[in-house]
Amino acid sequence: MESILLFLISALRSSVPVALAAVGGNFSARCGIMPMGMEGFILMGAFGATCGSYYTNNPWLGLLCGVALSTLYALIHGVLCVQYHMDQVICGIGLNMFASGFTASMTQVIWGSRANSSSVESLPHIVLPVIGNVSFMLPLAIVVGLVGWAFMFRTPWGLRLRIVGEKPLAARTIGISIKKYRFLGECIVGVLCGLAGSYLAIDHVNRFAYEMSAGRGYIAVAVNILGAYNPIGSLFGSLIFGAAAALKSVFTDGSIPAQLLDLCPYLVTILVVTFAVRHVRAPAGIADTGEE
Amino acid sequence: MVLRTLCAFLLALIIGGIVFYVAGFNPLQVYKLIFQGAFGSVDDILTTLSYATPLIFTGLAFAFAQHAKVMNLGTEGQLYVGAMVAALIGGYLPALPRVIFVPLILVVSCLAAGLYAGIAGFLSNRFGANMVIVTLMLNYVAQLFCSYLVNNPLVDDQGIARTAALPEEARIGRLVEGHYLSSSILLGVALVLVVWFLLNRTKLGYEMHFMGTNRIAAQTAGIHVNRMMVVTLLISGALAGCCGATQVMGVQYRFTDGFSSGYGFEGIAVAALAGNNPLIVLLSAILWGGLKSGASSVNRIASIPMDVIAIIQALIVVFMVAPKLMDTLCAPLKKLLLGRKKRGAAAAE
Repeated sequence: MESILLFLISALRSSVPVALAAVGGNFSARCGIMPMGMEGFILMGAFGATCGSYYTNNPWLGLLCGVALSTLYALIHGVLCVQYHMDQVICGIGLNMFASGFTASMTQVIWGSRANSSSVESLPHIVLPVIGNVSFMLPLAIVVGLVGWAFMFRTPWGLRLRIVGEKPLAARTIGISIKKYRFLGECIVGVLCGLAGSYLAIDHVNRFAYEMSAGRGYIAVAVNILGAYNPIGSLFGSLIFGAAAALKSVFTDGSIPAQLLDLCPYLVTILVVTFAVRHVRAPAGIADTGEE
Repeated sequence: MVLRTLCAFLLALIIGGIVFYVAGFNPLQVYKLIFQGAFGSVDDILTTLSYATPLIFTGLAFAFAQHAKVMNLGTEGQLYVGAMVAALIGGYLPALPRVIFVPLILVVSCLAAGLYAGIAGFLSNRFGANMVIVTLMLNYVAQLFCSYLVNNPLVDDQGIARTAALPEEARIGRLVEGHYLSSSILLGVALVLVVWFLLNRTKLGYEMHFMGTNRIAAQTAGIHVNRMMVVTLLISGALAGCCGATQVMGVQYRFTDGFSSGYGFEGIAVAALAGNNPLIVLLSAILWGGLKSGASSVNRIASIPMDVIAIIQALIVVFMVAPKLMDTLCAPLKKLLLGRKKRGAAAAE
């Protein structure tokens, strides 16, 4: 019983960053931008949060820095893809490579080692009934998912955002600004990936580590697909990955080698994008610039 | 096109230079030292070539697949598979005479890596899986599984995560006396020519181009698009596998945990700078190899952040696929050049 509870809590904890990023990814995909750069946004968010917390000694300012840096980075992705019609996938991959190189070299510049930063102040935890001591981002992720769903499916702005993502040309014809809504989508994905990155860096642990996003940005894309591009679906979808990642906290006795346990989330991702994708239709306007 | 490439490269160097400056180094000085370290002497050039060798293979792998508009982001995983298979056959099976053994290992490990790449093609064709996600996830799977193998069943007596050393018969020799540059670079050059021939002089290459330009038209014209995609991935994966196998057989002589310093993703930058032209991939790989070897030789004097190279590579990838952005950035430069030419022509008249 004890171990089952431990497993569930651990699964919830591991699914928080993926859930946040995936909800953000929904907005990006729904407005017609393939969110392939989320890996880089998360990494930038984590780095920004660590930096902010290191220089100000205040984790909340760190969180702000992380979100700001990640949003800025997402806006660069927006400028390249929306303004300059770059291939969204390659642009995302390129920005991920850049984020990896940038954070590693800046970590070396600031802390003298490319692998780790020194430890910084981390965010305080809150105490919830049953679950116990957790990050405030766990309830936040749930709220974000619900609000995101309401925004996307129950407000005129959400409807317009979805029109831009489905048929940009039609959106333009009826006077909806494609650019405005796509930049809005990029902003939302940037903010949420910034939160996810900050969670990894100054909440889950208290330092920045090289490549600490570890593919979560890509996993979030898979969660998007699994959740049928619906924020609430993404919340549930991320639990599967949380569970796969939490296996590590159950088999701590070494009966199963750590590498094989680490492998699980990635294998689950492959299975998900292989078998869930048949029943899900992606927004039709992805990669469509809406110009004749 | 040439101007755009030059512009992109310069811009990437400038942004990289800013990071060097922030780190407290004089960027011009650093670049000068990098250049000297890379091409300063015969020995340095040989070192550069040894850095370039793995990049030739991964650059070719990515560029080849790009011709059919297949994005093979799984080269990193494929090269791990190639390396592991080479290390397993070479290190644990009874050795054969070298003339047979070396080609045999190469062929088998490339085949394995090709098949590993084929998984992504199969899943994408059969189930409509997102190729980008699958290939990226297969990278993690291959790396972690190889790490599991060398850490658990294959761990050596001293507890170091590596496979048994390859016997003399399984090794690819050195190219020149007194330097560790492996002869596998010759294989790389040969493969450059083979890939060029495949792309430009064969039916396969023609069909790939057709498919890459217009998939639906290709399908209408009777090309088996799905089959072509798997074939493309098989060949691309085999090229990436060659990178891993030659690193094991020509440099390390065993599989060490985490031996690749991101050769797969560097291959993307190599291909991007070369505009996916296999012949230029060779030059581009040598250039990147030079940057890496130069930077590591500078690093011995002063600890510069080596990851700036990764930044420059990423910027090249971004700039080279954003023609609209580059045209905007190049416009003043172009005007300047054209204006001068026009004025020159007027003066000549």
